[in-house]
Amino acid sequence: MHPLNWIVVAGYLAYVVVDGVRRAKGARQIEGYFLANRTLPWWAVGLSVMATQLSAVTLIGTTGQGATDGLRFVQIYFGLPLAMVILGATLVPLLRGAGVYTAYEYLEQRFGPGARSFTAFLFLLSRGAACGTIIAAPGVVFSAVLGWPLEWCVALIGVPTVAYTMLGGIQAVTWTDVKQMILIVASLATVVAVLVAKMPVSPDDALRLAGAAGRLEVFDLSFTVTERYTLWSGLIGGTFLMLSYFGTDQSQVQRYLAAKSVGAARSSLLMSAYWKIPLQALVLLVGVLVFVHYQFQPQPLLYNPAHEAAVVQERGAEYDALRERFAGALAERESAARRAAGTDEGAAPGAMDEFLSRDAAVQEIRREALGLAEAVTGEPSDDVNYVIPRFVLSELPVGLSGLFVAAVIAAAMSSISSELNSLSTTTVVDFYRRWFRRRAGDAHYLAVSRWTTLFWGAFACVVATFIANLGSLIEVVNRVGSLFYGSILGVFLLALIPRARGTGALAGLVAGMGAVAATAFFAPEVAYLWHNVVGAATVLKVGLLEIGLRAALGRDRA
Amino acid sequence: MSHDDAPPASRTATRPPTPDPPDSGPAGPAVPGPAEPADAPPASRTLARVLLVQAATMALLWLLQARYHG
Repeated sequence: MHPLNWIVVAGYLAYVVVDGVRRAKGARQIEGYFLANRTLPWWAVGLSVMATQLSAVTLIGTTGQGATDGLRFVQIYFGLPLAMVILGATLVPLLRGAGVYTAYEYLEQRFGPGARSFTAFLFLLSRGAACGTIIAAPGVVFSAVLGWPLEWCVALIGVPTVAYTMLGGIQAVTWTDVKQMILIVASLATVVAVLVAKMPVSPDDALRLAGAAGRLEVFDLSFTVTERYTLWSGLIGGTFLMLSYFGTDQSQVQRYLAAKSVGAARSSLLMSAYWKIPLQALVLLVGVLVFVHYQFQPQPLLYNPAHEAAVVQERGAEYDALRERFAGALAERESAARRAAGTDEGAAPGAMDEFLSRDAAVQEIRREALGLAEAVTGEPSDDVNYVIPRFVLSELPVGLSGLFVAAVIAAAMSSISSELNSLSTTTVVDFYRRWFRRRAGDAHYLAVSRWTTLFWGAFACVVATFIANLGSLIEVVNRVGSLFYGSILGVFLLALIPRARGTGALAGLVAGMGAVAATAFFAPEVAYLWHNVVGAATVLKVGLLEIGLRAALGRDRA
Repeated sequence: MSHDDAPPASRTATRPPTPDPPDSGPAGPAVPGPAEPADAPPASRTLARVLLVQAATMALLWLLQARYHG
């Protein structure tokens, strides 16, 4: 990477740490450290919520998905606006009114210590591991692209994040999130502007090419539970997923508990309701424009430089032959793209078909190269996560590529810092203070909170270095986490029913997790968005059954 | 936009630990803490506004797909 890019990245990292540490002044008591004394304005909380959800995986993986698969992924967010309104009307006033630090603390008030500890434990389990994957995903990409050892890349992201989160608490996390969100959106908008400016055809023609190649298909109206992204899985399964994530995950709940009022907390959620879908569409559009860009510029045969180097070393002659064929196919595709883009479809009816057939030939050679990479390295060769980093470092002007790399690091940091802060809060409030040291001064809890933040940061970094080498484990961790989400949401929904009790909630939670695990095991073809519906519905059913049984047995005090 | 600038109740002192509820948990939802002024618009109006914005966003995406679909 060019020295100027490194200066941009180093300047950003130094600023984030200094600014975060400066916020430590506002975190001298436990309430200030975990909830910013409930004084944060709605817009800061709203931007923090969005920044937490927008991780480096979003910037690298989702843009790459836009380049290879188009805009379909945006459907997953169609349930989000409705979920935000439901949460604003139900859980937000409930949790704020209960005066709690964590969502799980509320469950104790409602269902007893068992429900609180169980759900808090599930959160620590899934989020602790997930935090490792949030660092690992960009770490692996940086390692391959920059040629650094993985441990250095993990440290580059992890160490500054742990430092400002540990010292500054939620004040530092939130205000850093705000700046990181601005940096992310600004860099995305700049990349779009550069792509459009460098495009040799008009934006209208560029979109025609993208549309012809299927990259602008947003809506899939088929109602099939096996298709991962459809309008219906987005609207129904997505609503449950977003209700679970924003309503019961401490990393999100803690944001709006820190807002200065119920109204401010609601407004912060509504910011996501209004802006999340357009933002995700922008992220995917970057990928779509990169796809069009490579119709007119030579694209790499393999985007992962580490895999490319390994293949060159082991099967150089074979790879050279593929490269030669690839160069010819690219030249033919570029000519076809220029004809298709520059002519009226009515005047040259076959131009677009020819472009599509040339594109298919390019993709066929890519598939052969990916197969070769898989055979040589023994690793999955899917290189969707490397499309954008390769493009940024080789095609963007110097300085701007540094800005984008800083934005990717910012995206990773904003997610990790929120996770660390919430993991520390749950560890201290739901376990340490609840079960081990019930009466101690703020100074003691504050010190313990800082040490637990450091512990979780170190844990995440260690998990990241191990998990990255195990590849598919990242997916396993994500899948295990998704087993809990819907069921925990079910417990919170049950809490809204006055006659529900702890016994029903705990039985429902176990049954819900079992139902989701059974669905994942016996019907793996069911798309994961529906798991949240299964989990929440099972918990509710069991909880209602327990209420009915209690009433039938005459043991209902209500 | 809501403007609730009332200073939050001070919680800087050590909070009393949460009392142990009975095994089956207390009946009914938790008693709300100190009341916060709810100056937000009614949920139905918020819902209508959010759904309107979402419909407009989805309509734009639909137009994009319809205009350029190969």
